[in-house]
Amino acid sequence: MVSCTEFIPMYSELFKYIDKKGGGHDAVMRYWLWLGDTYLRHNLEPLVREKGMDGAWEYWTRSLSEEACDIKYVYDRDHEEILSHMRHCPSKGHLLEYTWMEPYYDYCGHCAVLYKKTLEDNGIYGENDYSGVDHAECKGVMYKKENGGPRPGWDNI
Amino acid sequence: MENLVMDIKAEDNEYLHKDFHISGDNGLLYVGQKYGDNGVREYLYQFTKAFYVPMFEVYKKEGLKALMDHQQKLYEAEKMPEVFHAELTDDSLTITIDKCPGVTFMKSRGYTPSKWYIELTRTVGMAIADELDLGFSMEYYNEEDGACKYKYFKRAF
Repeated sequence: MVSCTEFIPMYSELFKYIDKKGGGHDAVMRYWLWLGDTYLRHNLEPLVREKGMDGAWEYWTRSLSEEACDIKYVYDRDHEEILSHMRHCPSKGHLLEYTWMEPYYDYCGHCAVLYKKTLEDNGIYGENDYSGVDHAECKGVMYKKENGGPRPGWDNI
Repeated sequence: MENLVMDIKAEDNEYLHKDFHISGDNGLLYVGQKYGDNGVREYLYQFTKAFYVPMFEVYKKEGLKALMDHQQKLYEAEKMPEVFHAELTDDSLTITIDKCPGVTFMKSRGYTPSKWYIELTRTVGMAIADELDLGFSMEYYNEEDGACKYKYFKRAF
């Protein structure tokens, strides 16, 4: 058995394997889209279809806690926006700690792709700021398009 | 309405996201369906050789005890230390697992592991053995609950 605490390096090596097997990053992207449209949709879609942004809040507050994230996560219910500031991502953080391994060069790219289609199919859109991923930091916002998009300055969370 | 805020540090929660067992199995499923059994084998050899380097180093100093300690920690991390049993001799390490934490979790979520899930024990075990110049044999594996018995041994050739 590989423990769930060892999943992140296995994930990173999976991306590297698929990339090198043929098709490069496009092949990895196809994997992310497949995963997002199968298992992850199965878990996320019932929540966001039934509860909208409340469902997204429920989904991520559980998983971000179980992943022991260092994060500020804010749900502005009046504007139906969820803002996040991942101060230290445990997944990327672990990969940076494993100095004997080389992480997949676009490891963090999976995060925006996996959930995008399921969320958009249910009227929720997102933007991300990945400028800090080299030190395991990122920011994001989820919003409803009918509310006019993310409010300016969302990344000042 | 008031904003909802989750502001957590890594130390506020234990790093134990068991959903990663299913995510890991999804990776095996994708590779198996796309690249076949040998693809799964290639992927897991790549992962094992890349990730377990620190354990391989400890093995050089401590021998089979290093391997036993490493395997035991996996089950402690999963909060199921009681399912792990080891018999260590000068020449061999036999490990018996009463039931697999990964399979237990996946089935509790109504998810049936793919036919390649066994390879996280069999192929990863073989890859570790190859790296350490050991023999490896799997005496049994029960797909229902992941119960298994496997052995690392010093080769006579």
